[in-house]
Amino acid sequence: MGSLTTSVCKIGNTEIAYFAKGKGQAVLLVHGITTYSFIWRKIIPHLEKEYQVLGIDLPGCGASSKGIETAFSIKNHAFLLNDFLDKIGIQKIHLVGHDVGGGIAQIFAVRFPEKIFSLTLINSVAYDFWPVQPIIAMRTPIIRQMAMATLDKGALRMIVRRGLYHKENLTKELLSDFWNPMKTKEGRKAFLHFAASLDNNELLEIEDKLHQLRLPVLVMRGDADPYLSAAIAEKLVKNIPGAKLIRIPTGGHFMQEDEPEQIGKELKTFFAAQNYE
Amino acid sequence: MNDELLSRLQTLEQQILVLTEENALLAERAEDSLLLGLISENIQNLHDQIEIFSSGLEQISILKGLPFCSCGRLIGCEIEKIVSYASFSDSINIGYPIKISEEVLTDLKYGPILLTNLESLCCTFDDRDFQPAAAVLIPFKSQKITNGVFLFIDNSADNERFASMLMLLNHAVDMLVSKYDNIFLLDALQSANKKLEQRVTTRTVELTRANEALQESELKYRQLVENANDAIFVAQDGRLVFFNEKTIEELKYDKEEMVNLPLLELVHPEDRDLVTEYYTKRVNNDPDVPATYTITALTKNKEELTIQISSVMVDWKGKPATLNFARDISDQRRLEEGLHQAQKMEAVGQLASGVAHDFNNMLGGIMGAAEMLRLYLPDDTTAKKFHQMILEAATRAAGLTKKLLSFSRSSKQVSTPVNVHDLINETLILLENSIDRRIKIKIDLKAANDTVIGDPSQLQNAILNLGINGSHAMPDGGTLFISSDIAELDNLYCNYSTFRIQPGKYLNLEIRDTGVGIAPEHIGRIFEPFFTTKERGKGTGLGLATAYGTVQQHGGAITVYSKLGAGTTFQMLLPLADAGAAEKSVIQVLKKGKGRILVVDDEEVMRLTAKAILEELGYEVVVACDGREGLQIYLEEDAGFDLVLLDMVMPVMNGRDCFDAMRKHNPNAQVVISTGFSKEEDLREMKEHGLAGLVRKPYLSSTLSQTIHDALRQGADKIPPLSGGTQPKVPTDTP
Repeated sequence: MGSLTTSVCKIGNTEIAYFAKGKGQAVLLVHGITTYSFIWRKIIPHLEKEYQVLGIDLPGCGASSKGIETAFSIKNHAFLLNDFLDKIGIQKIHLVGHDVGGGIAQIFAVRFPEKIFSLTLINSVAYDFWPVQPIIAMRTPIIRQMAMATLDKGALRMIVRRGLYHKENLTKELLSDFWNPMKTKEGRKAFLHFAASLDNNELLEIEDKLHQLRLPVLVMRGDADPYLSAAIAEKLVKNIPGAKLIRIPTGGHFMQEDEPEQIGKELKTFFAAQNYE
Repeated sequence: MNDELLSRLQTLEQQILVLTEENALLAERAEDSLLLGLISENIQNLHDQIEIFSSGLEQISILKGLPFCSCGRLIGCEIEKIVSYASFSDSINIGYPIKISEEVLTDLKYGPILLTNLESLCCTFDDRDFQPAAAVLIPFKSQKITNGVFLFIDNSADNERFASMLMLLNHAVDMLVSKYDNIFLLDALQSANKKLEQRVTTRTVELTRANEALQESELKYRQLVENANDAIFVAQDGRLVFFNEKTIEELKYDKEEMVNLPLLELVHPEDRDLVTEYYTKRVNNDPDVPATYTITALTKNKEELTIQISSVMVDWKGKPATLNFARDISDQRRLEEGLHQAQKMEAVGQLASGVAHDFNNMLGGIMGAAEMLRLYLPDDTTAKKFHQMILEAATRAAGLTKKLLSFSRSSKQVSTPVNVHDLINETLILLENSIDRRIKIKIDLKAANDTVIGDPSQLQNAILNLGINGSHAMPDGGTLFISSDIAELDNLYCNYSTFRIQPGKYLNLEIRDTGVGIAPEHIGRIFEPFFTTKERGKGTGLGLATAYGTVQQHGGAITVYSKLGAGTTFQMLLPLADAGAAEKSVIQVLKKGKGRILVVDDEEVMRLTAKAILEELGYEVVVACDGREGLQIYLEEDAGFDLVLLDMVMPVMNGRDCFDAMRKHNPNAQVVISTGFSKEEDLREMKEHGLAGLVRKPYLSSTLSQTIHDALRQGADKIPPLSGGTQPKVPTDTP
């Protein structure tokens, strides 16, 4: 299936590929590492009837620019999101981030709270609980596995499979969607550059501001996510005032594949609740 | 309890630590294997040399976490980039120019180097992107790159990690270089193959063209050889190894029989020694061997062919052989023989006419004297009887002479339209009465036109002779066929013929018998006078010779075909007369007369006979013994003669010269020529110059009287009397 994006928005030298479906309040979906916009394909149908659903490929991912001259740090990505929204004329969004996308969403929310209806973090990174350290990034097991996965479809399959609760959902097509960016040298390098650019410090920096957020926050946790600790979700909900936690026992790291209907339903309910209030 | 638990916990933690370390080591080993496996797998499908290095460097960089991996050529201390992979940059020339120190350059000769102090490595990275901490250099040599180096730079100062990686990197480089060489060699091989294919294609085209040209050429030569009118064959070791169609055709063998046929089997036994001798000499380069010679060859049916052979030595399949061109000249030989025969006949004819001339003169004397004798003979029956015998014998002898003269074309010939069919029918009566009754005669006269100009008696004689000749060939009976039709002869036939014939319509007469035939050795001689195979006394040997002469004189041709035991066919070709040819007949009448006549003849007996006859007839006669004396008398008497009877052939001043001299003195001189034979041209010319008459020797008095009478009367009609000479006395017609 590949990227769902149909349009391109140019910011500086970077081309951001995105899609926009449906009408209504804007919902921006931000993917994490190893995935791109395709990961939302099963969620969109639940939202597009009532919302304008926007999804992007982060730089270095999917159909967006693969140039590595600028750092793919999550902070940079957060500012890029803001530029992107300005460029396409969207003022306020329901922001949904998955994995590293969740980290970006946190920085965006802290920096541009006025542009947000609500914030949803799905199996999100946060604080320094995730196994990424600058400089020695490639030495950490998960990043080494990712490196291997860029060259070896078998290694990638292992990563994806481990991230799914319903292992039987790992079809050839799904693996192909994950593998697509690794097919080109540029794709591989951009992916690894993205991984290498990750820095826990950027999230530690905003910890205080995050806890002061006065926004509707939903934290969704797949209990079967082997990559990210449950402590992350727990700490977020505990420290962000009014944050709501939804645990999905049958959700792996890529739980959009495991339980799309539940996620879609919860999102709809959550977004609607904000409007109702 | 708590202490115990704590101790166990510590032990377990210890064990976990050990296991984690082992796990990390194993994972690293797995990664190394994966790396080599990936490199191996990936380069399998790559065919571009740069792509191989590029792909390998990327894999090393990613899996071993080495930010900068490059390879290049060493130009002195400088590394000239071939390809690089930098995980931190898209710039293709990142880090370059890169230089190494002299020491490193020297050390590289001995193998890979790990540099932890980068002072000896000078490169140009932006510090913000990358800070080099350690480097590994691995030298390599390949087909195209004699002084290559792989360069791996890490931004970590963990020397132990790099050192442990060295073996793997060396391995990976070996694989990449080997593959690089393979591709190079494969490319070279493919390029060589392509060139070879091109050369093969080009050569094939050339060969095909050459082959076509060769085939065309071969076809041309084969056509030349196969359509040649000569037999062309190659003989080697005494056998036929090659021959053309004409050879088969002429020798009448089957093609299969001819192959390797011993050459001498084709040669008449009499010529075999000659052929062998020439062959041996030719092989030995003996100059004394003719290039062309003639032999008799034998066909499969043992028929003889006269063959003219031209031979040259050639190389045939690596061995000496003779290339021979053979021409069947049998026909040419027959023609030559025919011509030779014709020439011989001409000579014989001249001889015969010479004999006949003398003989005629003598007969003239005998007959004249005998006629004179009659006047003096008493009416004694016995004397008269003997006198008659002399006259008859002399007349027969004169007939024989006539035949001889006829053969030699010198006798007088009558020229009149003759219906040959009538002549044949008349002759048939004569034949039927004179030949064996067991011989049947069949006549088939188909010719629509049977009129020829000629002498009927000569023609009849010829037909009769041929008929008789045929009947003699059938002693036990048989059939004699006489047939006629029209033959139209063309130039070719006429040129081919040994007879002087002109193209046109001819009456073709065939006289064929079913007799014994003529032996081949005789066939060339049958037309010779006096040639006979019959017993002595049974034939004169003049019959066929006369027929030959007759046909020749009539402007025709005669040929003979014969086969022993089967019979003989004579073919006479006579030119047909134009329609409406004038009929001409001459009636001889005995006349007495008056006048003064000069008789010039070198033969005394003829002189005296003529004098006697003419005086008997009433003329006054003066005689002269040769042309010179005759002319002298004529001049002395100032042409005082009414007529001159002039012999044609005389040893001193012949009749022609004498005639001319007399006519010069007196243009109206009346001259009658008496001759046994003369060239028709001479006579015609003399006639044109006023010859008054001609009398053939031997002549009878009646003939002479008529000729003299006619001449004198003609002269009286045309010529005014000569002044100063004796007035010619016009003879009066007295029967």
